[in-house]
Amino acid sequence: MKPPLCFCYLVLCLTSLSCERHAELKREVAALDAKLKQDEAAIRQHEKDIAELGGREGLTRLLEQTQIKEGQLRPLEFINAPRERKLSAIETEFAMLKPAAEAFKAAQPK
Amino acid sequence: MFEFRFSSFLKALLLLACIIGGCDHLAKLDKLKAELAELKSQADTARETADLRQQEWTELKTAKDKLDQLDTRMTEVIRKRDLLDTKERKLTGEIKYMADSMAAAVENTRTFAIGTVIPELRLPGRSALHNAKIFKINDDSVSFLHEDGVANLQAKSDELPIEFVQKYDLGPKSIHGGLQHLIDELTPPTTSKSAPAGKP
Repeated sequence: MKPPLCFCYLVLCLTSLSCERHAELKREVAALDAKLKQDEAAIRQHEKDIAELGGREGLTRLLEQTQIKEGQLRPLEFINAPRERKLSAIETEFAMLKPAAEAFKAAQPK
Repeated sequence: MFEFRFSSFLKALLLLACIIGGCDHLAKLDKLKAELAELKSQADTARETADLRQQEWTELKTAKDKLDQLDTRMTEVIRKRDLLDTKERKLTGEIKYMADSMAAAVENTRTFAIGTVIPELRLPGRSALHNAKIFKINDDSVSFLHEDGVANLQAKSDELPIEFVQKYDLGPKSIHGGLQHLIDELTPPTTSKSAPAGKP
């Protein structure tokens, strides 16, 4: 092979290699760019959701409200259960007394 | 003397082109690498920020869900309390009505019985009374005038025949007494009326 041809071949090889490397880097940049855009979109979405729930300060407010609600709920639940049992017992006892009372009233002298 | 040779000129031109091309390529490569490094740094920051925001949102969402659950429970408890209030009012009304009418019936029966003479009143565990005349009936006892004097027979110590106890609604197991006991059970003021400050 003559030296000029050899030189041309070398130049062609180097050009090909450099193009390949260039394309690879471009692909990496494009992939990173896409990922960045995706993350930015996720940040925007989360910020929107956070704003809908009252912002970052909303957490304190929500926790306070939860504590207040729990404080209100506990005594109500505490009262309801025994009250329900008591009313059921009274209802049962009344259901037993009622027919006897009706019979007594029906049997009274006119 | 210098002799112009076309091939030498071409070679020099080609070499120059190669050098310029190589420099350009390296410059582009450096630019791309710098861009890549910057993008990587931005992507890392964005990832961290996204994770942070997600964490914040998760905390908020958990707190909101818990509050919503409490609201639902509160609504349910208040609904139940209102139902119990209604049930209690209805039951109290029914029992009071029944107790009042029963009291009137008992009073009527006992009044009607005053003066009744029983020729022979057999009593459990003791001798019979002859010509026993009822002269007083109260919630626990019946008083008789009989041939041998006066007798006050108590219902709770089983001195009276069972038919007397039933007929005049006497003793601790009386119907009227039972109804009155139920009214007493319902009467104490219930604390459920104290509604919470933030009643929905």
